[in-house]
Amino acid sequence: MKKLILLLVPLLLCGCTHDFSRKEIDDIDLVLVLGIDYSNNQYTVSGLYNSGSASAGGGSSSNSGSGTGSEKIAQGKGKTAYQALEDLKLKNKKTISLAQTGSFLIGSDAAKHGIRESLDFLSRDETIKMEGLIYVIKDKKASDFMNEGIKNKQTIHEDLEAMKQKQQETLTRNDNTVVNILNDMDQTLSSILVPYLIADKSGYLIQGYAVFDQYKLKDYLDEETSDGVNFLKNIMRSYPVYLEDKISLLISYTNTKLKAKISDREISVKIKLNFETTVKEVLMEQDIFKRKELDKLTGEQNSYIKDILEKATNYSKISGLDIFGLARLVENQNVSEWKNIKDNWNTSISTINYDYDINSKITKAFILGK
Amino acid sequence: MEQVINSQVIKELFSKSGDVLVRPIKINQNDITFHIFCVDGMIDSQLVDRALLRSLREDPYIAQYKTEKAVMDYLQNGGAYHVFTKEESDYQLLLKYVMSGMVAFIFDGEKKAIIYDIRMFEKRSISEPTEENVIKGAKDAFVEVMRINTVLIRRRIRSEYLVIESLSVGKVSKTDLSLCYVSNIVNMDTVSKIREKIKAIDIDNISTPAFIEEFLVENPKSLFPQIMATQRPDRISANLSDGRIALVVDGLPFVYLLPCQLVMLMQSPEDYANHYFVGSALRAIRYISMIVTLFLPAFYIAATTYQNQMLPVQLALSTQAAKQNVPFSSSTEVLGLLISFEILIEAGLRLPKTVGTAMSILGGIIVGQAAVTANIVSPLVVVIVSLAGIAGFIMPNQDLSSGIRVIRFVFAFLASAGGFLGLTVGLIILITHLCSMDNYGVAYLSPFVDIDESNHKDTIFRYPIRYFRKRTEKLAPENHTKQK
Repeated sequence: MKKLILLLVPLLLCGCTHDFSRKEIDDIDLVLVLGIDYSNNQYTVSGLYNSGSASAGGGSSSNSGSGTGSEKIAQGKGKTAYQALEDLKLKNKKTISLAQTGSFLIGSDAAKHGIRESLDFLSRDETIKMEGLIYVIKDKKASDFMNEGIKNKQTIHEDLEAMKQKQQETLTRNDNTVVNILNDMDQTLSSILVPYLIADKSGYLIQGYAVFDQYKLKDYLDEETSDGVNFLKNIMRSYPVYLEDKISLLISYTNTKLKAKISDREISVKIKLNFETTVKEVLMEQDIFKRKELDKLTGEQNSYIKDILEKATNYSKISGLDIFGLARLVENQNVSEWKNIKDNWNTSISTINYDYDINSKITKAFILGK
Repeated sequence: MEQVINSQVIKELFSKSGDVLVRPIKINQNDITFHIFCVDGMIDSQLVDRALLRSLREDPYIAQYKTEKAVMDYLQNGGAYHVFTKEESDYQLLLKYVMSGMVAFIFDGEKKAIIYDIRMFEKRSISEPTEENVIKGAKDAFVEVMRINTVLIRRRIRSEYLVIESLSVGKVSKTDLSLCYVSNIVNMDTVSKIREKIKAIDIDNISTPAFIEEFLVENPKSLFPQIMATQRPDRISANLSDGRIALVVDGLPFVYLLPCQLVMLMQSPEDYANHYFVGSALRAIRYISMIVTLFLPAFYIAATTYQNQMLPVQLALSTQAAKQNVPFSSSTEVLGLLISFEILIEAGLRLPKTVGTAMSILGGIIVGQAAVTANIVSPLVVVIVSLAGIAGFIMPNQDLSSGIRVIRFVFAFLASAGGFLGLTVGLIILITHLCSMDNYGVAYLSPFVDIDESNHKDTIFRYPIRYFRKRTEKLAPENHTKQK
């Protein structure tokens, strides 16, 4: 009996794995970057893959876009993003796999049409890497963005990877991963924030966040407002502070705590931010490490950061969008009162009172300079 | 043929054997004749002449003993000086003693013999262990002679409780065995069980280790070794003190240890010679190597054939590029190379040492470089298989290493059939198998599965010796405490 079971195990496995589409890795085109666009009531999905050698890939001649170097783009069209992806799979010579896709680019039109429509198929694909990053392409189609990169002989997926590394240098975590954005889509009261990309001569840049309202692209935040959001979300790792007295400092530690209070249906949020900076550049003669000077500088950097925070809170008040996940915070900290204001949350956002308590410390960087 | 002790009967029995000597010796002083019975080449003939025969010839007192019985009594009470002297009336035992190299004086009238242990045959001297070498530690190893091996054990355990029981196995070979244990520590039920198993062995000859191992293991179908063979007396003595039982077999240059657990097979004497931190690190590397050698080839197959998302993107791309011109599937590549690796190992073992080394180098070049150049395998597969192969050789126990090499193939097959699902099924079967194994009342995965945490101090990590305070309960039920 045991022998029979042992014999049956591999056979059963073969049967069970029939649908797993056993495929050698060299028989697959691994899509590294996936672009999603929407125009003329039609979705276009562009898959950028590494062609490896001359014999590999190639894409369907009718469907594939331009391609130079080792990266190629294959495209599919359909009424929905998923239909476009299936079209891409159907027309490409080799099997298409999204298992290695590290970046998902949403064209601006697709973002305006709705992020849910663009990304829903990702949440139902078991092969997708949950740590893949989602970006919005500012005022451009994702396919154009990718084609321009190929034309400029850029290695797009590597440049995007480099950008991810840079993002991690300034932020403690990337909130634009597939899993985070899909989770954010369940939070109907808060806006979804997705970093937007622009192409620069030197490469790709993240300038700030694209703000979604009811799953549709509403606005692009400027750089400082986006920084303010990062401070409020307590994900800022390092940040430069340039003071007018020709002194540059670098924030090496931050800790933001938000405390929401509801009294008489009025919401007040206390923002407590502690941070530490290191002196990086001094272009003045005075000894800045005297107590008096230090106190002055501390005050200056506090107000510098306060201005950045205010930009984010003011934007939220003016636009009426919850851009730093306040809904969840207010609900968690005021469970019983939340029921009363929940239905009017969108109007309540504009009336929130923000109270700032900013404390900082300046530390010396002992190298050679005094 | 009549089975009585008689020189004529024995002469007839060995009439065609030129090396067996049955010769009459006459004691002139009292006209009594007895027969010397021995095997030429197995005795120290000079000592027989000097200590036995000459003393008989020149003994002035022997004349007063006129009967065979009186002479026998006199010889045993100081007439002939030797440490091991025994009167024997059992015909079969007499044959056994003489065939093992002892000398017998046969007194036909009494139908008895006096046995003297004056064995001396060509034997290998005690040398360094070939498999369990240590830099810091004892350098002696067991040899093929059972008595020398028991001496090596006794030298290390001078306790009066060390018992060395003599047994015999093999209807034709009559191989001597010694069952060693420390009586005030060991679980006597286990000793009885092993003794019964040995007595129940009914084969002709113990020519290779497998003849005894297969009769003693509790799960003969398992690929995991359940009886540990070691060349090192220090290892035996340490395990005897823990409550285990050693089995010394004449003719084998190693000693068996029972009951054996997986954790023992992963330990090396060097662990205890080094600082506990270094010892722990080395041991951890061994466990990591076991995982690498078991799963790496299978992981590669599963990742490149089914679930490529398990690979980092750069590795996936380089794997894809490396496989572009290889005509075979990943499973064929890995399994083919694993088989080639085994062929090389076998060839290296069978060939003379000098040729074997050249063979390994040449084989390495052929299998590695040439196969890659000819696009038969991708370079990454060569790296994977080599890494798995080398990791397999880190195992301190050769039997475990061999078992793992076979299981590695099973995992590779399962990964070919079902990817990570197959690998997971294999892993579940392996863990279930290991957890269900019981070796003379002690779980094979003990002490990992023991509730008593005090047993966990010498597993993957080696704690300082001062923490080894207790013995495993099932090994030493009456005597737990090692140190206070």
